[in-house]
This record gives sequence, structure tokens and C-alpha cells, in this order.
Amino acid sequence: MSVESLALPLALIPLLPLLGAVLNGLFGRYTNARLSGALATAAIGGSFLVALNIFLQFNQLPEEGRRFLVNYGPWMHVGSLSLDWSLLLDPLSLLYALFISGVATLIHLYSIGYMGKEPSFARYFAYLNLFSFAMLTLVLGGNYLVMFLGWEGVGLCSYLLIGFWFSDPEKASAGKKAFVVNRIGDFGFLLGAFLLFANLGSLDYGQVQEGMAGLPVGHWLPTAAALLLFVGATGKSAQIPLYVWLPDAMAGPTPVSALIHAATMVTAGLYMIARNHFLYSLAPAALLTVAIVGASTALFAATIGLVQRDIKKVLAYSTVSQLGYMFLAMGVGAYTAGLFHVVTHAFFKALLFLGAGSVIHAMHHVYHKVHDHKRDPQDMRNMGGLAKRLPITYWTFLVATIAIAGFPPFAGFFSKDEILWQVFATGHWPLWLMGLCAAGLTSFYMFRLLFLTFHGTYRGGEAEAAHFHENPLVMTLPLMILAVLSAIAGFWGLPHFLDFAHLGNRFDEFLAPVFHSGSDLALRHAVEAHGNVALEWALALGSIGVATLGLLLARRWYLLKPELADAAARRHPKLHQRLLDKWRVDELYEAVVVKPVAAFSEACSRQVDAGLIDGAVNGTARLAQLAGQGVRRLQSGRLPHYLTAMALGVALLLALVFTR
Amino acid sequence: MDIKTLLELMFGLLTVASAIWVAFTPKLLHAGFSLLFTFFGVAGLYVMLGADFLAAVQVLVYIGGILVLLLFGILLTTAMPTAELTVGGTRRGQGLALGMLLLGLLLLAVFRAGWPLSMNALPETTASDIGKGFMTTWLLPFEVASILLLGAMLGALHLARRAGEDQ
Amino acid sequence: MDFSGLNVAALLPELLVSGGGLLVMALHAAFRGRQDRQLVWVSLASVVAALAFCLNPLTVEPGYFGSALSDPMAFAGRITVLAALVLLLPGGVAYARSRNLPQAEYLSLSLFAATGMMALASAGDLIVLFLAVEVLSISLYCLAGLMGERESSRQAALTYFLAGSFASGFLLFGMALLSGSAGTLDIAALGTGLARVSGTGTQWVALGGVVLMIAGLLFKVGAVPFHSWVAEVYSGSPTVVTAFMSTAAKAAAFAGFGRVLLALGSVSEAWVPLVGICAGATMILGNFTALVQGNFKRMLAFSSVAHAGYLLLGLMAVGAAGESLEAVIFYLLPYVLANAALFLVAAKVSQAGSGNYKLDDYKGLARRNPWLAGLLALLLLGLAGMPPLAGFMGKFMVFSAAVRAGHTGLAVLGILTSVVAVFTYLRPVVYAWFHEPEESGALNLDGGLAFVVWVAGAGLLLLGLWPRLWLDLCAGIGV
Repeated sequence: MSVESLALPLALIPLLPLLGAVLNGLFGRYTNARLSGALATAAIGGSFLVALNIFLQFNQLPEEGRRFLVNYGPWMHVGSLSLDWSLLLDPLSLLYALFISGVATLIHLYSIGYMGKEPSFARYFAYLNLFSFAMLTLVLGGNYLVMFLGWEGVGLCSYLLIGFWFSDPEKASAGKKAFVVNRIGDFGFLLGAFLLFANLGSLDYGQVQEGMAGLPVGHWLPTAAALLLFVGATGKSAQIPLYVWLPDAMAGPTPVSALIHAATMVTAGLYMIARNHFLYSLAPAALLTVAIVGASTALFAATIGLVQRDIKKVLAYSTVSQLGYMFLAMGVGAYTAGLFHVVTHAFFKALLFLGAGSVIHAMHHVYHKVHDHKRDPQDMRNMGGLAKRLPITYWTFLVATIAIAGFPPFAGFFSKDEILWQVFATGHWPLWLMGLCAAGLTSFYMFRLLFLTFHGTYRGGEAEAAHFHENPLVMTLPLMILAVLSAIAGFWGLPHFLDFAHLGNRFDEFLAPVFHSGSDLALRHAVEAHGNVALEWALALGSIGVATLGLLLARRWYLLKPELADAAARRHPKLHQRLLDKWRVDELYEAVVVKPVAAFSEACSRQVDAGLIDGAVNGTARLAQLAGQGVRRLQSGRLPHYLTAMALGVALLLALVFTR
Repeated sequence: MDIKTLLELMFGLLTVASAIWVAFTPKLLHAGFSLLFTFFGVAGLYVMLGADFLAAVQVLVYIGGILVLLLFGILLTTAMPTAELTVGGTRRGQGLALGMLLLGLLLLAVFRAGWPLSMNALPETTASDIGKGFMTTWLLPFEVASILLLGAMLGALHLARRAGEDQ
Repeated sequence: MDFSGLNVAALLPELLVSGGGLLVMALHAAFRGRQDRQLVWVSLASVVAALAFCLNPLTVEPGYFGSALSDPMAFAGRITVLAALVLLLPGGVAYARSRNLPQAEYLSLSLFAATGMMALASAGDLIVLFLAVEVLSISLYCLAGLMGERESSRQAALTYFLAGSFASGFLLFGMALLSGSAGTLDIAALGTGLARVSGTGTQWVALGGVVLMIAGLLFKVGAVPFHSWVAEVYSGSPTVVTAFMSTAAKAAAFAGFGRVLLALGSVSEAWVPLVGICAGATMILGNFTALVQGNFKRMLAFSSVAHAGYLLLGLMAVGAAGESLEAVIFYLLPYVLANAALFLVAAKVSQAGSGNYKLDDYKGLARRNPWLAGLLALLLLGLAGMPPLAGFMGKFMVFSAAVRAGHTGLAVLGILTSVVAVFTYLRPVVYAWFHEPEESGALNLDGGLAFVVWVAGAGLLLLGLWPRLWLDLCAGIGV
């Protein structure tokens, strides 16, 4: 494999979905939903196959040869700034490209069934493909600016997809919120990039890494850059304080939630940190910030997830919480552990969302049959006992629930446990405790969701329940594939204390060439120095215990004695209301950010319009009457105000220069 | 104080005083006639500075041409000769203070400056140099000015005509 | 007399355009106005011929004894102005025809204004600079008054005229002080001239001149604190004229401004803080004011104030050694394309709706004409600086130039305010895509407007993906 032979296939990975988007955008209206969906699925599936092919060849290469920077020509060269259209292929970007295109293919396939009756299916598939294009550009980009291109692109596409059903103003405003909050994060990203550029004169990953090489640990430059870039990551990956957009973004179609909010866009922030590991490893303060924000988000979002009634809202807060785990891992320098959770989470969270979508789709169908458009098909209080009605959905959902709750041997156990272990082993035991609590809460709210939705009896009555039937294969097939992956993916990154057959941690080995800088290794040695197998066993058993506790409590409250849950809510009405209101963070932001900005703008506007007595443009000056009425009117109007302002401006500028 | 300085002061005073009158008289016709003295004062200053040709042009074009046209315009328009202009009003104090401030700042620069004198002798006549300049170095400004005048004339004519049609 | 420095070819684009204006007048008179419908083709032919001469210059030598330059700045300014003319003239003529306004006068005044703008971009000495400013200003005053059918547009014209004359006074007085103390009218030689008097008392006169001249130019580009006229003039003038003012005139003013500041590099410590304060205030005030406008035209007016702030930031960078005007040159073209198209779209949408440019007119535009709504979104996001559109590249270049020149604080302010700008530009997009239309029925574009919108949209995308295309052209042809 060489740079030349890679150029075409590597470019095809992002370009195939772009082509799909263009074709669907231009000719979509002449096709039907199936054809349009098949085209989109084929486009992204093609990307996956190309990535897979590269992956297979990649494993043949020697470790040090697994990095290719393919340059497709100059983008802009201004002054000392030079940027190229370049794509970077290394284990990290390949890993992301693989699971993004893979999961996205399944979600595209699922969408054919889910969105089949939607009139603007072509637009939907075009957006979906465009989103995949932006996401793949983000991870394959060879410098900060190409990455930023994808970074903004996913923001824009998520805006389009979330606001897809635009007849609903609430959904439109959710899309807008996602876009705007992301822009605030992007502000941090851009500032970080400019900081690097100002000090190192380059925006190329390789050159920035070289420029950083000589700096001592704790130097201000990597610290500041890492913190600024992290602001960008909190926006894209929905961490405190910028997580607020993600739960609202559930307004989009459910497969979109699965794609954007489980598998792809939200993991962009983690990718960015992993890509800049050399910065973070030099900046212990920034790493600690990342870890604290991650742990806090994991716990905070989990508490909100406990009481939500909308099935997708629970999953949304669960996503925020799980992303917190990944940031926690990054923050203690356990990059591969964090990335491993990114991958396993992509599988089981996509499965959870698609499963929820399958339930919602079925509920819609039933409500349609009985002509009921008032009840909310996403409210779990209307569900129950669906296990019998939707067997495939149920069994696959069960797999995902066990995986996310952290029971062995499913994928979530290995990845989450690895994170908690690394956090503990690096000496961050308060953060570990937070992570452990969040694990218990995760298990509780996930089983609560499972029991409320699938167990017990259907709360809409037997007659209505008869209308339920399992969704078609095009929707259940992705569920089954993802269920298999959720079950077995954990063995790719087997922790060594469980590695009885000496298979080795394949995941770690695969990513090893990326994280080999001196400071990365120092962090790694810290773990090995503290670790011992007995402690690792103890921690693993501890987290299984906590998960079991969550399971048992959920079973008692929501399956065996449902009245207990209500009693608990009544006993602590204030706390319950606070949780339902999501700790009122949205209201806080409204008061602290939105209102002051609006007030400031109004003040600016008034300043500009000062002297406008009538406020409207309705003067009656006439050029022919210059000597009479016109001049008088002008003098009483705005012109003297303008001239006064200008003369004052000149005087100020003169004074400024003369007094220097 | 020699006679030259005295004359310069006189012309300067004439220019400024008549300009103030132009700005502050409420009678349009008075303002028009006062402008005559302003132009004349400027022409005098040109002469004192040795710019003979420019002084002649000032008298011929500004006084003989533009000002006469202006006065004709005022006198031939029915309402204009007796029109009263509102000057100043509530903003007079504000404007005065601001004007003084600007003047003060510029005077600061004027008094700080050394104003070095050129040692070159003044040219005897300037007309031929100016003529050559307009044909060579300053040819482009000359041409651009013609476009400027053309555009202004076109617009003014049309605006006047339209305003007339309206009534 | 020695005419070897004349080199008329250097001025051919300007000559062709002003010649076009004269021809239009002559034909109008010759046919007694019966063939006015054809005059737009004559005008466009002269513009296209000028474009062709710009792209295939017979000479790269300065012409008219150094008064007319053909460097990258001049080239970029000319092309930008001509591009704006190509986009705006057909729309303007259609506007004039539909309201029974004089087409011939509109065309020749536009061409004269463009001559002034191009001369401003290529001016080699202060006298040409000033005359060019006046040519473009007076033509625009006349256009604003001429094309108006409402009183507001005449009042806008008069306001623009009086405020503009006031500013011209400062500009001229500043030039007098500056050239007097530097001993030259040649812009390129100002720097060395000023270096000679630095340290002596005369430098105070020179600095006064610099400040007054910059103040005059700040007025022409509509920057804070000389922006107060913008809202009334831009929203009061007929939209086709507003579009011309806020695009071509602003681009030309920035070209002239940039040339002057580049020459004043040796006294940059005097003007950099001054321009910096104005740039910062302009970015803040422009963006935040645009945020709360409920009127699309006023929103565009204040957004053009905000863009002046970013451009000033780019100009400031030339105060540092080794910096060029590349960022500003690049910024202008997409800005002009997007704004010209948006003003024309605004006129069309308003005409089909409330008639007074309310943002509400955009509700449900996607249902009425999805292509138009899509292109509207593209243009607005381009102005907002979303990658991969050219607006982003422009902002990126300006900010990185500012960072290189050491103005990091202002660059941060620029990025921050451009986040605010996203809110502003998103509002019409949200209305267009996520609201139900208040009026039903398709909103069809005529061929001319569709051409403009598509060209602007394609240009924004193309320049964003291949910024070198434009920059290489500027660098390759002019030098």
C-alpha cells in the first residue's frame, strides 16, 4: 500500500455519500422511497466496503508504516499560512471511518422502512448522506481546517435533519438550538486552532505535533490550546455546559437520533481529543478539566434520565451520560479505553435508538388504526407488555440494555469497566466513585425503560394491543446485526486480567501506533505501576454489583410493585420535579445568556436609531424646496445628529493620536 | 509688520468673516452676496502666495461664473430671495463646542509644527507650469474631473426636471 | 512635453466603462428615448469588454504618469466592481422599467459611478483618489434620488449627499495636510515622505492629516463611529441602488483605503490603534444591531456595517511588516456577490409580500420556491462564514492575518461577533424553511434574477473550495 494507490480509495470514502446526496437531491423527486433509500444505502455501504478493504490491507503493514497523509492539492496559501486538501489515514481515522460508515449503513437501511411513508423521502436521504459525508470528512481530514469543514458540516446537517419535520415549530427551534449551541462550541475550536497557528505557524497535525515535541509538560501553549479545543468538544459531544442541545434534538426522526446522537456526531469531540492527544498529554490541567467535566456529565445526565417519561429522552440523557464516561477516560489519559467505549457505545446505543424507533413506529401504526392522534406514541406510560408483540425488537433491545448496563460478557461491560479501572488506577478515586454511581444509575434507568416498555401489560387495552405487529425485515435486520455486535464487540478489547487464552488486547494494539509519544507513554506507565490483577478483579466485581443493584431496584419499582415508584416520587416531590425539569438548566441559560444578549442588542439598536424621533422613514423633504420646508425638516431630523456624531468621532480620533 | 503680512492678515480676516456671515445669516440672498467676499479673500490669499494664475481662475470662475449663477438662481426663483433659513436652533451650543474642540485639536498640530521654509525661489509665472501639468502628470485627474462634472450635471438636470414634472 | 509615461492602455477598463456611459447618453438622445430597452445591452457590452481587458491586460505598466496603477489591488477592485455591475444592471433596468423611471440615466450614472470606483481602486495619487471618491459619491447621490418613487428615497439621497459632503471635507483637508507635510501627492511615496518629517514638529501636521483622511474613508466604508447615515440611506434608497452602494462602492472604498494604509505603513503605530478601535466597535455594533432588526433590508444594512469591521481588521494587518492586502482582496469578492444577490432577492420577496421588507415575508419560502429558499440559505450562510463557503475563507484569512500581525484580541472579538452573526443570518433561513407560508402560490423568479442568484451561489461555493482561483488570478495578472 502506498500513498499513490491509496489516493483514490481514501477519497472515495467521503465522496461516495456526497455523490449519493447530490443524486438524491437532484433526481430524488423522480424516484420512489425504496429506490432513493437503496441508492443512499448503497452509497454509504460502498464507503464501508472501501474502508473495510483498506483495513484488511492495513493489518499487513508494519506498525510504523501505518500512517498516510494523502495530499490532493493546495487549498489556500496566504502569507505564512499554507493549507492543503489532505486526508490522513492512520489507525485512529480508519477506526472511526469503519464504525461510522458501518453503523450509518445499517441506519440508512433501517430508514428505508421507517421513513417509507414520508413524502419528502429524497430530501431525507440526501441529508442523511450529506451528514455521513461531513462526518467522514471530519475524521479523515489531514489538517485542522479540513477537520473544521466536517465539523461545521455535521452541525449544519444535524440542523437540517433535526428540523426535518419543519411543520412543527417546536422541532424547528430544536434544530436551531442544536445549531447555535454547536456554533458556540465551534468558537472554542476556532480560537484553539488560531492559537496553535499563531504560535506554531501551521495547522497541519504533523507539524503541530512536531512543534509541540520540545515543550515541557504543563507549558501554557498546549494547556490553553487543549482547553479551547475542549470547548469545541463539549459543544459537539454534548458535555456540561453545552449539552443542552442534545436532548432537544430528539425531535428529529428516530433513525437520525441513532445516527447523529449515538454513533457519529457526538463522538466527534472525542475524536478531536484523541487526534490531539499530544496536546493533552502535555497539559495535565486540561486533562484534569476534561476528566472532571466528563465525570460530572456522566453523573448529572444520569440523574435526569431517571425520571424522564419519553422513551427517546431517556436514551438522550443516557447518551450524554455515556459520553461523559468517554471524556472521563480521555481525561485520565486512557485514550484507547475511551475510544473503545466510543465503538461499543456506537453499536449498543444505535441499537437502542433503532429499537425505540421500532417501538414508536409500531405505536404510530396502532394509533393510526384506532384513529387516535392525541396520545404521545413516545410516552412510556402508554406502553407496556410489548415483548410479546414485538419479539425481535424486544430481544435485540434486551441485548443492548444488558450491554449498556455493564453486565459481562456483553460489549459495554468490557469498555466501561476498562475506563473505571484506568480512572482508579491513575489515582482519581473521587472521579471513579462518580463513575461507579453513574453506572448504577445507568443500570436502573435502562431497566426501568425496558420494564415500562416491554414488560407487564399493555396500558392501552387488549383490543388495541391486537393491532401490533413486528416491523418488516428491513428494519429488524439492522437490529439483529447490531445486537450481535453489541454482544461480542467487547472481545476485541479484552482486558488482560480476563485474557485467559492470551489473545491480547487487539484494540489497544491496533491503536498503539497513534499513541506512542513520550508523554502518552508516561501516562500509560502510571496505570501499569499501580495496577494489580486482584484489584482489577475487585473493581470489576464491584461494578457488576452496582449494576445488579440498579437492575433489582428497577425490577422492584417498575415490574413487581409499580406503586413504590409513585410513592417515592410523592415522598420527595421537590426533587422529583427538579429532575423532571432537568435541573432547570435551560431556564438558567435563558436568564444568564439569552436575555442579556438580547438586551445588549436592543441597546445597540437604540443607539443607532437615536435621533430618530418618528422612528420611521417618512420625511417630506423635496429637492425642489430646498430653501424652505425641506431644510427645516432636515435640521429638525436626523442629519444634524449624524453630523454631530461624525464630528465627535473625528475629534476623538484626533485626540487619541495627539495625546499619545 | 510689513505691508505683505498686513495684506495677508486682511485677506484672511475678510475670508473668515464673510464665511461666518454666509453660515449664520438667515437671509439666503445675503448669504449669496457674502460668498462673493469669501471667494475674493481666497483669491487675494492666492496672490500673496504667488499663485497668480490660480488667483485669476478663482476670480473668473468662482466669482464670475459660479457665484453669478447662484445669485441668478436665487433671484429668479419666486420664493427664494425672501426665504428665511432656520440656523442653529437647539443644537447651536453643541455644534459650537464641537467645532471649537476640532479647531483646538487642529491648532495643537499647527502650533507644534515647525513649518520649515522652502529655500527655492518662487516661479515668475505659474500658468505655463499648470498647463503643462494638466497635459502630462495631472492628465488623469483632469479627465476624471470631467466625468465627475458630467455625472453631476446629468443627475442634477434630471432631478430638477422630475421635481418639476411632479408639480 | 514628454508623453512616454501616458500609456493609455493602463486605463482601458475605466475608459471603456465611462465610454459606455457616454454612448448610452448619446443613443438615448439620438433615438429620443425610443430604443431605451436596448441600452442595457450597450451598457453590459461595455462592462464585459472592460472585464475582458482586465483579464487580458495589454500592459502592466502604470499609466497616466503614475496616476493609474495596475497592481493586484487595482485588478481585484476592478473585477469586483464589474462583477457587481453585471449582477445589478439587469435588475436595476427591470426595476426602472416597471416603475417608469428613466433607464438611460440610470445606466449612464451607474457606469459613471463604476468608473469612479475603478479609478479609486487603481488610483496612484491623492488627487485621483479624491476625485474618484467624488465621482462615485455624486453619481450615487443622483442614483438614489433618481430611482426613488417615494419621498423616503429622496430624503435618503439628500442625507447621503449632505453627510457625504461633510465627510469629503474631512477627507480633502486630511489629504492637504498629509501631502503638504510629506511633500508628495504620490500615494506610494507618502511613506518615505513621512519618514523624512518624523521626529520634527511637522509630523503633528502629518498625523492630523492621517487622522482626518482615515476619518473620511471610514465614513465612505460605513464604519463606526461614522456609520450613522447607513441605516437611513441604505433602507431609504431604492434597493437596486442600495445594493450598488453596499457592494461595489464599499469594495472600491476598501481598495482605496487599503492602498493608503499600505503606503502609511511607516507610521503604522499612529493609525493602527485608531483603526483597531473603530474595527472593534464596528464589529460589535454592526452585529448586535443587525441581530434585532425585523426588516430584512435594515438587517442587510447593519450586516454590511459589521462586514466593514472585519475588513478593517484585515486592513489593520498591513500595518505589520510583510503583510499584504490578500485577505481583504479575497474577502471582498464573495461579500459583493452574496450581498448583491441578497438585495435583489429582498426586493423580489418584498414585492411579492408586504412590500416593506418585513422578515415575515420569508415565512414558508421553501414551500413556495425551494430552490430560491435553498440559495437564500446558501448566500446567508456564506455571509455568516460557514465553511466551505467563501465567506468562511474570507473571515479565516482576515482573522489569521490579524493573528499574524499581533492583533489577537481583535481576532478573538471577530470570531465571537461572527457567532452572533450566525443568529442574525439564521433567522430568515428559519423563516423560509421552518415556517408555514402566509401566502400560498409559487414565487417564481424571472430569468435575470435567477441568473444572479445562481451565479452568486456558485461563486460562493467555488471561491470557498478553491480560493486560490481568485487569489492567483489577482497575483498573476497584476504584478
